[in-house]
Amino acid sequence: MTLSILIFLPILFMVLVAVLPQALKNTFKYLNLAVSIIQLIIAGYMYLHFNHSLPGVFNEQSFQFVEKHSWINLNLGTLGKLQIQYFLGIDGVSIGLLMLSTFVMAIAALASWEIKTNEKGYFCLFLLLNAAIMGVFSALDFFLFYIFYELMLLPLYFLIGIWGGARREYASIKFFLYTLLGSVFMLLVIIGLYFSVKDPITGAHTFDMLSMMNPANYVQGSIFDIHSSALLFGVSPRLLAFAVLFIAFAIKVPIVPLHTWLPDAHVEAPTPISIILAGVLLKIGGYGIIRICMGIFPDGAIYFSWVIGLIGVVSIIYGAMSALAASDLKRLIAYSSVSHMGFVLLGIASLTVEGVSGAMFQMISHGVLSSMLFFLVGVIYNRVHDREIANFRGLYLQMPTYSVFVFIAFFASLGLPGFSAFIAEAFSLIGAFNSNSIPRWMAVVGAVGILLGAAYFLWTLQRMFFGKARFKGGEDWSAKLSDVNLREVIALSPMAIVALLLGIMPFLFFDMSNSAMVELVNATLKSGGQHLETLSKLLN
Amino acid sequence: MENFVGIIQSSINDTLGSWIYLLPEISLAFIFILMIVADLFWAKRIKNLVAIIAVSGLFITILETLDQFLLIHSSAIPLFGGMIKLSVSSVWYKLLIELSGLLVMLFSLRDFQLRNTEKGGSEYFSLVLVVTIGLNFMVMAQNLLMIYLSVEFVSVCSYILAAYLTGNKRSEESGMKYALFGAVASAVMLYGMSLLYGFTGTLDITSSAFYNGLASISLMSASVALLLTLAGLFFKISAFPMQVWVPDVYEGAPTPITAFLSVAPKVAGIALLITFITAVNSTNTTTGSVFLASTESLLAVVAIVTMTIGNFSALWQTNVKRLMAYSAIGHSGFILMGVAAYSMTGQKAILFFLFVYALANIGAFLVIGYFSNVFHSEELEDYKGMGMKYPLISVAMVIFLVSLTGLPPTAGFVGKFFIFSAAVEAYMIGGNVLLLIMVIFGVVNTVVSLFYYFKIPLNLYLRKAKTEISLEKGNLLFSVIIIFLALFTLFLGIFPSKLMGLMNW
Repeated sequence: MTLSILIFLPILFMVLVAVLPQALKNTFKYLNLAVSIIQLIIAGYMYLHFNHSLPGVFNEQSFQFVEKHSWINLNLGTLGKLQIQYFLGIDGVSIGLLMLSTFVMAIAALASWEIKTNEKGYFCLFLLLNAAIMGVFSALDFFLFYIFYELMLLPLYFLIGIWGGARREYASIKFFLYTLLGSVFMLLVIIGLYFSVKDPITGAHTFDMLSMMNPANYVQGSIFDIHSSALLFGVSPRLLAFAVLFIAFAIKVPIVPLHTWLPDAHVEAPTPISIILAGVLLKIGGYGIIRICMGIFPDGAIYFSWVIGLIGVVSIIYGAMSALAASDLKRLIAYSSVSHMGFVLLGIASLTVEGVSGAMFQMISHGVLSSMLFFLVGVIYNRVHDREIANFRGLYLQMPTYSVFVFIAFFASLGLPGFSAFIAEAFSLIGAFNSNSIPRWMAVVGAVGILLGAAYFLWTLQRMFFGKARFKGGEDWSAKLSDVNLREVIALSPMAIVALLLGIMPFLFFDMSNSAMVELVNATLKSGGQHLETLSKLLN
Repeated sequence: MENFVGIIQSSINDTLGSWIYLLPEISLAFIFILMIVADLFWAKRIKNLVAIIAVSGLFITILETLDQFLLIHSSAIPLFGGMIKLSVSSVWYKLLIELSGLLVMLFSLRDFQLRNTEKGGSEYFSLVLVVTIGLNFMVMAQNLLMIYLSVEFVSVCSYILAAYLTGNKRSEESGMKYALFGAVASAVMLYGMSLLYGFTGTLDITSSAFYNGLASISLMSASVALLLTLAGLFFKISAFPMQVWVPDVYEGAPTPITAFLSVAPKVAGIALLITFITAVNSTNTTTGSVFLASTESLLAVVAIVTMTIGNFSALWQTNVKRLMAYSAIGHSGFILMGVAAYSMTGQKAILFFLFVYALANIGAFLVIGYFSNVFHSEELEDYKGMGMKYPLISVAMVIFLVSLTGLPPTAGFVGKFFIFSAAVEAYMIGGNVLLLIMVIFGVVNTVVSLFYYFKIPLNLYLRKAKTEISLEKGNLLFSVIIIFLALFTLFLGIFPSKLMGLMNW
């Protein structure tokens, strides 16, 4: 029940907000915050009751907080029965991200204080988004996962489109189209998988992800059967399916060259939505690649590891270069996200326990840090409605406490030892160095990316915070640029603390995920290698 | 001679025995007569009398149609010497047609344009009822003659309905265009049918003589006859290349009629198309039908072209009704995907898809009608900022559009999902790559359709209203129906098996 409560609590409050009269609009933000706090408490409860030794990943028995109910059962003519389940559960792969989501949603709820128009609509959509995010990380039925995955798009479209900046129409539809293009093709793979996989117990065609991960459940001669030699457009269907799923998720991550929606969406979105986009949404891409692409098509993960690694490296360098060139602070941070998420891909491509753990850790760390960065941008934007780097100088003298938080966030993000990003990037790079599947030079180039990261963060610090206080808006701005208030401190401090805590005690996370990562990587290497061998035999 | 008497006797018995199965259609006919009489004598005294009779009559008919599920159990029953056939699937189609008829009548009751036409509304309601009779026969027809009669029956009434707003140039033009295109289409179809009769010597498309006759002549001649006949059906379901009439007619016709035309004739046309395709491909030989591969490929190509034309043309539209017209063409393409898949799964998928399409499409037109009653415009420009003024209706509109796009958690997603599944299944069984290409076009078109459907929420919510004039409140009846349809769309999206599970045959 725990996971269902986590998912449906926001829906319940959404209905409540929808029916409450407009006169109570000032209470909506408190209701929204209350939801997030209850979710945080639930996440804490799950953390305490999470059994670290159970690996999860492939085996239903070792998943925790499992809920499994029959949902849609239909007899569909010639090819047998259709079985869709309401199947939730978490393991070492998802628990960290689920906790991150509750945390980021709480921060975003605090940042939502800036919303002054159409509160009812905003908070309804926000809560709907919240429910969808929780659902994505806990769903173990592919159909259910897809529903939550798509359900996130609608509220985001409106949240960016209605409460966003000047180019919001363009940014919101671009975001929607990009993601949808990836996910509709994913739907085709889902249908193909459903025809290929049978539940071993009921004998019905199933969308159960865990059944899909076991080669024994595949119907003889079906499209995705490992022993089938049929080709689809001249390629092996399994490899094609991996590529399609990978692109669908990689658009979310995002990868260069499919990243162009991200700077637009981030820059135009209101602060809380930028926080959610960077803190949670991008992670769904990484989570999908680890859970679904690697889990269901391990052969593809090995076959394409070189390409994935290359994409990761290109994203790291390209993102960092673009961040160097950015003149808008929010755009700079958006591009730094592209760069940082490149490490996730690099770690995944390495197919080593260190690398994949590093990728997971990078997602958590980036989730916290980018939320903090976007929150910080929101602070000055709310005060003067401007975020051009060139228009600010000497902010340290004007807003000392604020500047301290910025220093923490910047130094943490550029990978200063003692903060979470350092551990994450180090592990990804170690994984890449030790990897058999990607060449060493990728790790070296990735390390150069860290250097570039230091360059753009430090340069920005120098430009905006040091020197004499001088603003484009003159006296008017000086008056408006007051230091952070209590609410902002309450929101910023936990993020700084978590970044530091994870940097000093990374085992807080690694203990949770380690058994899952070992299981995942070993199984991927083993069965993926076998599948590839079978495949090459079949094709020759 | 004695033998002859026996035949006469048995056919009389057959005819007499068939009447009981026509109860819904007979009631509709009686109600129609009742409406004419009532209009003549009492219409002045009792306001809205004809409309009330029509709505309640249709409601009774729906109950009778529901009763037919019990009457026929599982096996299909041929009636009137094989002229028509009543099967579980045809009862479903009839039910869908009558339900959409009922919704459209309720819609028409409060439509501003229809209420203010000089002719009054009584003929209008009788015509909608008569179209329903024709559509019911279309669904059940099994004989070339019956097919032609029922299609013409529907067409003639539809022409009048499209041009009902006399004095309104757009509506007159719409009716005229519809009639001209329709006349050509039915002439072509009649020519095709005469060829079919010439080749096979039978009018009964389900008899083995029909298939054997076609299979024995050269494929070329048979294809010409079949294609000409199909052209008439393609006109009804607005599939390529018979779709050109759609935008003008939909834009000009009264909004309730546009809603009706975009759903009911399409449902009946699809049902008839399935009957026809099944007949052409039904053979007792083990080798399978000689037409199977070519019909599959033909339908796949038509599906691809239809949805691509529909969706891409919709991108540039600024009038909401016209936009919905192109979207209706796009949807025809989607439904044809299911027909091309040609399987049990495909037929159920189509029926489910048609249900959710009808819900969302009628819902969307109701919203258009609602807004048009309030500010008398159907231009996208004028929708600006209305989302904030009519929140409930606009949210419902978004739900309908999301369902039409085919995104979860609405019923449209499940419908699309079933259609895609059917096509992928057909590919896996038959291995026709064209089917797979069709599916890929289908998903790309989904993304394209998102772009134009979301122009409506874009204007409703993302843009500011041009003027701050206060507008009157919309119609309560409309609001109730709209919200009910929206909730039902969501419900079927989350629990599709509640409806899909009932579709057993």
